[in-house]
Amino acid sequence: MDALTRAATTGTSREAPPASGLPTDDLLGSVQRSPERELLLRAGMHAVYAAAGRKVEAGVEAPVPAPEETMPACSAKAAEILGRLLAGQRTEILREALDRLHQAGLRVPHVLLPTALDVQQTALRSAVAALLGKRGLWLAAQNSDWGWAVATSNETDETTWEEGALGERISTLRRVRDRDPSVGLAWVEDVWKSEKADARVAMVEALETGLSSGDEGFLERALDDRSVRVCEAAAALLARISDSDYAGRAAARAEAILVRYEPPAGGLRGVAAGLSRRGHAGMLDVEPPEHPDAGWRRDLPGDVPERGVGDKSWRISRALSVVTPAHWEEHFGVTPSDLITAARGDWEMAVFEGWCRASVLHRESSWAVPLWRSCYRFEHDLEGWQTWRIALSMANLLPQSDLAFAIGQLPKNGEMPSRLSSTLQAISDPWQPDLSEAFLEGLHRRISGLCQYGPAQGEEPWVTALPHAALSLASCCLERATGFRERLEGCSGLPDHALRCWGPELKRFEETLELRRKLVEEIPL
Amino acid sequence: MSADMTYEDIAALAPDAKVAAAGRKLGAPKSWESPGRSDDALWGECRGSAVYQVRVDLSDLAVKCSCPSRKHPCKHGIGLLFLHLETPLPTAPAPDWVTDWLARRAASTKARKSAGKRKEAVPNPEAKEKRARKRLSRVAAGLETLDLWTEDLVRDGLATAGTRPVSFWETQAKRMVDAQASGVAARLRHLSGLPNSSPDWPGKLLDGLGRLALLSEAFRRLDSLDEPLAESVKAEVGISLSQEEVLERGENVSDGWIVLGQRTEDEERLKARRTWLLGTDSRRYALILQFAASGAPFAEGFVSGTVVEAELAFYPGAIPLRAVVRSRTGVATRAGELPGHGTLEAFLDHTSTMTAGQPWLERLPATLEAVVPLLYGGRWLVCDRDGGVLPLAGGEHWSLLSLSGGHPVDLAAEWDGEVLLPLGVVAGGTYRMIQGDG
Repeated sequence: MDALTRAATTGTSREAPPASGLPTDDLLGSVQRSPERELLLRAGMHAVYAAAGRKVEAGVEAPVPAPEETMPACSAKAAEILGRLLAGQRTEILREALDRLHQAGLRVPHVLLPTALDVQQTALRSAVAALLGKRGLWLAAQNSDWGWAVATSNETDETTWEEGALGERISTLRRVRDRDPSVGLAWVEDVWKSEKADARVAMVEALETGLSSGDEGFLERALDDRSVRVCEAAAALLARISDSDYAGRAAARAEAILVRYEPPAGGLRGVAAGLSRRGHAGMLDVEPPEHPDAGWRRDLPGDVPERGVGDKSWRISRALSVVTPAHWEEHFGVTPSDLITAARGDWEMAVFEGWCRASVLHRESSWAVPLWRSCYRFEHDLEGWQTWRIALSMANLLPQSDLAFAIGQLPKNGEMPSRLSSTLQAISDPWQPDLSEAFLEGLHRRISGLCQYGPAQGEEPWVTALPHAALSLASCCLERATGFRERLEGCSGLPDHALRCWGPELKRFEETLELRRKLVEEIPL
Repeated sequence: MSADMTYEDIAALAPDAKVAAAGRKLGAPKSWESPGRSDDALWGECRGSAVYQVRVDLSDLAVKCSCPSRKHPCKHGIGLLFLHLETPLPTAPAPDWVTDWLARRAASTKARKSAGKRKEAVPNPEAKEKRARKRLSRVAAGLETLDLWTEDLVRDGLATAGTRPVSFWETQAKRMVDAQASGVAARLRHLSGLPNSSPDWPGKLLDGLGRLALLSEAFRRLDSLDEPLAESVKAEVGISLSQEEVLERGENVSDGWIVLGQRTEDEERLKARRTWLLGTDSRRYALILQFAASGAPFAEGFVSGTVVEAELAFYPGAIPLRAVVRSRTGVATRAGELPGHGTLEAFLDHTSTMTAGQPWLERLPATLEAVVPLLYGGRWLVCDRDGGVLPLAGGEHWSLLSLSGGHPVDLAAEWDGEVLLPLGVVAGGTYRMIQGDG
């Protein structure tokens, strides 16, 4: 603090002000002024003098500049769309944009790098990391918040594993498991005792990458974890190790429930059974289990039946859910569809639920199709609905061409059953061209049907499927996907409620497709 | 509008983000009926709840729309610009509602252009003279009370300023407004934010009060100052010329002006925009100050990073910076470079000259060639080819860093005597404005 500031801060108390030590003081001349005024004027001139005499600083090391880019940036228009997506509008499409950029061998333009590096979701980060270019890595190295983008080599993987946030640790773990499962397992075993339950759950789940019998010992120990969620995660993985001890125990337990398969009878009894549509594919005897023992509770930890589901049904479905459905084909020597038909009876919903869950766990699409068909026909009562909901979790296992065919078979007015609509909505994978084409064709037909025959009673399954379809339709079919709203608005005599039901959703549908079309256009592959 | 206008440029023309987003949506061909363009205008009919006639004058991007929106430019005008950017409009003969409007605009510009040159008989020169004298004495009386007030403050010690309520400053600022010294009032309001804002606030406060004392001292001796400096002092106090007077008396400079960048500040019910220009031939800097009620348009549109052919009239003063646009011609083109100072030392020499000529300038324009922005020891800096550095304004400058990548760029900035506030950057031959996040 200089003398003038010191004097001004404490107050002048009518004393003569100190000199500023600058030649400017002389400019004031010998005019009689109050000490305060004198001080202020000296301070003012000091300020101007200092401003005019401002010097540049020195002694800073210039950074090593970013290396030349090896990938080209995307076009200005693509950058504009990407900027909007990154800014938080329509994050669902962001993933598609990033994937397209990656496939096209393009990088994020420099101006968008800070926003791209600020992306929070772990799934998006791995997509962004591939598009940063040399400049992005150079930039990320200077901001600790962006450390996730720089950690790629073996050594930094280990640092991330030891010091990173949970999301980063888990994605690193998966990456390492992909390269060398035993290293990843050793990492987890090292830290296991000191981790919180959330972290333990995530780590067990990450062992899914590169899962093998080498993980069995660890997972068996994890079955005795004090957190139920850890036990559940471990059980799900153990069930997938085909020759594991766990799989053997699970199969034995399930065989005590599905006790016997009777092949279809021959002769007249068989004809009679066929006519009654019961048992023409044979009969499956189901023995509901008694109270679970300790081994049961250890192997099948966690969740309790939903309301309205009986204990016995629950136990049947739970015990079947961990056994690979292929086991039954071998055990009874029958095809999936025959066994499914044979399961009709008192416990069919429970058995179906168990098989549905098992198909998802073991990714058995040869079971998913007949199971889905059977559940599709269930009554719309509570039990039927619950089973249907579980069947929907198999949606990604269904061949999309079958669904495309189903849409093609819709009646003349194009109405779609709500179960078909909910199946379409449950497919989280991108739609293949045949399904996409069928959907758009069907939508055209439905709108024509709407104009011709009037709206449906109650909810409109097409409309509820639109938001999901807008994001799932294959990019090669987008060109055709226009004009729906125009056609709807061109219909005369449509009641107001139908316009209110269709109009806004169709508008959003077309806007989303428009945005995706632009992406396809601006990021050609 | 040149073909290389960007999305950001158009969004920056919108009065707020909502209009920009709505306009963005309207930038699709299906919203438009027979859009077209000529050499000097864009037009189209926008289908909304009604059909609106939308037109844009390409010389200054003025928008006229038949919609009743109070925001200006409205979403339809912004939408038309986006449309043209997405899919360049076909050249066509302009309809009457476009040519009529252009003709009316041209006529009013012409009237304005000749405003200064017209020898208008002053209704009553004596009365005008008398009014001016009266104003000067009112301001002088106001400054007398200000001097007593600041002297009291120093006598009690600036340490006490840290404990004063906001009203302590505000009351005094209002008195200055009443005394028609709004420039002084603005300075007081700025000073009121200093106490406790930084460790060295007493020094900063004393600097500000000292400069204020110099200003009142200069005002007392107005008659003995050179004419230009006297004009500067009057302007700083708050006695500024009307636009008409500037057009009449100001120095006219025709040039291609690079729009270096803009800063808009929202005050109560009012927004103020500073637009910095640099003449490509004259190498003169100019500041266009515009005020508008919040939500209302600024009269003149500038797109940062373009070159505007225009004749400016400068406010008289010791270091003339502030100017008004007398006329604009032609279509703005994109600036590919920012001519300026080769070293930071040369830039500071230049500011010394300006400060010596007019000590109360608060913000000076800077165009710096080949500087490297960097983050060093937690500080944001720019470094020149000699290794000299100056600090950047508070806040983070990641996009600037990203655009430069450690390589030299041309930077346009505002210099407040302490730090550089970046306005725009030219990297790889492309101008980009820097949003004010600092």
